[in-house]
Amino acid sequence: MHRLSHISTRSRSTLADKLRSAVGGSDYGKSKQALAAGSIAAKDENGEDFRELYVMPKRKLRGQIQLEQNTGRAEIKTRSRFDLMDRLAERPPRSEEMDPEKHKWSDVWPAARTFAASVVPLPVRMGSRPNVEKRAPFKKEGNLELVKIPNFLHLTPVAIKQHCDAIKKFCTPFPPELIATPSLAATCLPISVQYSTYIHQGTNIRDIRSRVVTMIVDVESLKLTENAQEKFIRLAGKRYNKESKKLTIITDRCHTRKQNLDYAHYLLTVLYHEANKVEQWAELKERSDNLQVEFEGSETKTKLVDLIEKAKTAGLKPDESSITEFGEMWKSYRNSEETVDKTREYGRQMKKLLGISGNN
Amino acid sequence: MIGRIGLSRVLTRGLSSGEAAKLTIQPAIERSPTDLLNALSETVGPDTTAPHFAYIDDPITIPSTQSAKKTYFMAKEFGKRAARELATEWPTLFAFDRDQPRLPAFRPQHLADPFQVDPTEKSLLKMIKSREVQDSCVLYERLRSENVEVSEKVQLELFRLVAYYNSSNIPFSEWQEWAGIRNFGEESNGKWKTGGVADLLFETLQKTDETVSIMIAALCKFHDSQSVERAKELYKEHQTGKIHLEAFNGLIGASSFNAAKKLAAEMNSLKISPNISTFNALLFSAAKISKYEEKIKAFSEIIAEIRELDMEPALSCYYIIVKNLIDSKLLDKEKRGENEEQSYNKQLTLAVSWISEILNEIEGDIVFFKKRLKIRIFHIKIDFLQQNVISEPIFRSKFFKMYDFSHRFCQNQGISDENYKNLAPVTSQCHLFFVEAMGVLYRASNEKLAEQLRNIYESSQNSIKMPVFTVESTFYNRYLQLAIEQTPSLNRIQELYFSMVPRLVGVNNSLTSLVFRKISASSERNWPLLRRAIVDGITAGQLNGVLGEEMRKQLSNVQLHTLGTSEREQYTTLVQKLVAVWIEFSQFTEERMRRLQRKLSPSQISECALLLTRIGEQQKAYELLELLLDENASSGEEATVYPKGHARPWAMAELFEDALRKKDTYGAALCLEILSLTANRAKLEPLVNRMVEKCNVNQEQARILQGFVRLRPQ
Repeated sequence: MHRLSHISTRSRSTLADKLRSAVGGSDYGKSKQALAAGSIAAKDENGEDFRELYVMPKRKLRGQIQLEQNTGRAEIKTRSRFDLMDRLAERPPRSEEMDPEKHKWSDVWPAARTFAASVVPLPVRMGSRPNVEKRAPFKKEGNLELVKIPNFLHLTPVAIKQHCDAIKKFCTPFPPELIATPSLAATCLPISVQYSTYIHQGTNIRDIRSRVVTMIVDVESLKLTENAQEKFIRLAGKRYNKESKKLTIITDRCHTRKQNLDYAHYLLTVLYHEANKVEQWAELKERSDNLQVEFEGSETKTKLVDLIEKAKTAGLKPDESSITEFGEMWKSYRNSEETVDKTREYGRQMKKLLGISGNN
Repeated sequence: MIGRIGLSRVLTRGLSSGEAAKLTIQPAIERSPTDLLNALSETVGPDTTAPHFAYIDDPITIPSTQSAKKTYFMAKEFGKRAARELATEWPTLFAFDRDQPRLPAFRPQHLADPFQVDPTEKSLLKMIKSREVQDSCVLYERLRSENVEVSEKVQLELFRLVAYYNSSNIPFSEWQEWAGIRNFGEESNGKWKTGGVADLLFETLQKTDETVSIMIAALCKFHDSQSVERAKELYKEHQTGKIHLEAFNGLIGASSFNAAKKLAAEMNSLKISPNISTFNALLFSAAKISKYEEKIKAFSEIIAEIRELDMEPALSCYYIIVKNLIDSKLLDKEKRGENEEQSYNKQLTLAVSWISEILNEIEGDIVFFKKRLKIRIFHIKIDFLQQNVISEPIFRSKFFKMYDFSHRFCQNQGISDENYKNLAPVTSQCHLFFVEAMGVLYRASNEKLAEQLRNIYESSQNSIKMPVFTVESTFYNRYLQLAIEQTPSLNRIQELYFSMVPRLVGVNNSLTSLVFRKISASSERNWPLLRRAIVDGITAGQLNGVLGEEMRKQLSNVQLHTLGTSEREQYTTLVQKLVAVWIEFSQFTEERMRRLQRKLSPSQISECALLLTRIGEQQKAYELLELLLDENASSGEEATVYPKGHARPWAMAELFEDALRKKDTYGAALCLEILSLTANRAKLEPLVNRMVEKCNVNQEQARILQGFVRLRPQ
């Protein structure tokens, strides 16, 4: 290459430099000028060496260099780093090559896993910034917020459909009777048992929460007598829900689910048999021991009957037939929380009973 | 349990009769604990963009080359082993006893020291059971020196172990837990250790059929001429007894084909039925026949013999055959003479026809196996019906027993009706058939058969798998190169390349240059393929040397106007990255880094400058070109440019034109000066004239230019 290099050596400037100097000439032979300037400045007018006053070291301090580099006045000398090959070994994100026609997403992301920016070919963004209108939330690359949240990329509708199709061969048909009349479930399947199984990645397959068993029994289907049912409810305490008429037994005192399930069955059995027993002291039960205040035999009823009698004699036309209706209302009024509506209803019924018209 | 019983009573009483019977609940379909998982896993296919599951799925950790794969895998494995070692040494520091069920991997134990353990027979047996060969030898000798009686039974156990492993520890290939060592660990097949514990035990123990057989088999397994002689002597001495099949197998494999045939006849007379290993040994001895035609004849005879015995040849049989179908002397292309070339072609043709036969056989087996199975069961049924009156209850039960038996027989053979696997490994060499056959097909450039072979290998009926990072990648590499070589379509190449590199095949020089060759030869344009090949080249460190040059050539051949917007962006980034990397390579000027330095050559600089002007980075391009004129850049300690070589004239011409088009006087002057390094006055003059014409050159400048040209040699 340098067959003619002596020319450039002699002139010490390239052709382009010469052309530049032909126009402006200001920067011609920069190096030469600098050299000349240096040699002149080194002597004072008496021909003696110019001794500079020492104010600060001639070299630039590190802070100064950094400042210059940061403001773009000084060139940053880049050095090759020895880990070059390792840096080069980084591959482009593989999501770039994914083609929705050629690749199935469920092959790429078959099971739950943490978000990986290089795999998910979606331009998702996440995070909060003060002015979203001005600057969009952060990109997916290196975005911790995306890693933290659980994602359901493995449960796309297509994947779920595939899974369903795959396991369909293990399924038996749902009882057709239950589809026809869903209410059959309550009568035919009076007991339901609920428990949870916990699966997670780790060294331990046990989870203490999986031992808990919840058993829900439809009390009606036990076909208890009235007394037995009352006893049953008393024994069950707050485990009995009087609205749904269901008994809920939660057992968690044993170590395993099986033991807890057995224990729940045991409790139900004991409860049943205990409810059916009639003890001697049970005969001592009085009206005030009832679970609910009954209209029949109550003081209100005798007073009402008296009142109606009196009203009759006073010439009013009380509605005697509605006393049963009033009794039902009274029972629910006495046995539940008092509300404005109920009080109004009470008044309405009373007026009706006494034959006082609503307009008066 | 009390509760359960009580409840059933409660419910039966509680529920009025008939209500429970209203629901028709079908009995559950029986399934094994893994059936559901299997069904779900069948919905998932291979992800061709992903790395092997052994690696972390992240751009910086996905290895591109074969060596990177190995390094990464081994690093992981050795890290694990180091952790185990620490946990063994300081178990209390790692006693985080949460694992349920207990995982022994968390509680690694030191191996029992043969010098420390109780010198009892029990500890020796324990060691034998855990296959610590050398330790058990040491312990045995310690027992003898301490005069502890060792029963004959234990001695026999020890003899079995020691003879099988030739008194050395088990080879890497039998390490179960550490896949890296198992596959990458290299070991020489040692020779028989004379006078070792095995010999000693053999002398001590009674010469029964078993001990002699073990000794013969061991001598043949670790064979040299002496040990084979000794094995034959032992065989002759023990003519009175009946040695076992394994010993015969060993002897057959170690002898010449004629001797092997005699041994086989001997076996026949002793009524020892052969197994696949026997035939492997026979094939192995047949491969030693020097005359080619006889060798092939012997192979055919042996295969016919296998069929005669109603056995299926294992893939390992085919492996031995395929391996020996071409003489090893003829394999090297450069060493073949003209005569040899002819016989090589002949042998290659024969090998391909053998492989074709074998593949059809295997494939036919897979397809027809189920049918044949059913036919066989059907025949059993028919035979039975003919022999017995089926209506008799006793016969009926017998019939079903028979039917059951045939089913169970099939299941024992690994063949169940739903889940049959025809291609199952019989010996440890079965998987080598695939790679060997692919090698032959690669030589013969037979893509059709290669495709068939690959389909068989990947079919769900095949349970023979090659070790992934060693043999399998060779198999796929051969297949890929063959397929790329054979197809003219760049789209097909792209499809193949994208799906296999770097998942199955590591990036390698021959593959990359093949892809570049195909791209150059094709009239099609395929930017994604070119980009991928270059990106792979970068990750595999192919930037310097011939392939780097090829990359520049390919990039400068790309017609930018044919690319889309995003593709053009990709082109820009790629060029920027490449140039930056080449410059970084050239700047390793420090003393201790200099071994990494790859100086820029003038041709490289000119090409890079051209690529930079293409993407609109003229400034950078001229800075780079200035290096060519800078004395300091090519000499001294800090040199970053090679002092030899020339800039590419075509690249410089294009750069010059580009400068003229932009009316860039200084750029054009730079190009002119670089051109002047190689061109003479006659060539330069028209260039100067054009420069004066096109650019805004004042008189002074024109004078300088004219003067410059006049100074050039004629």
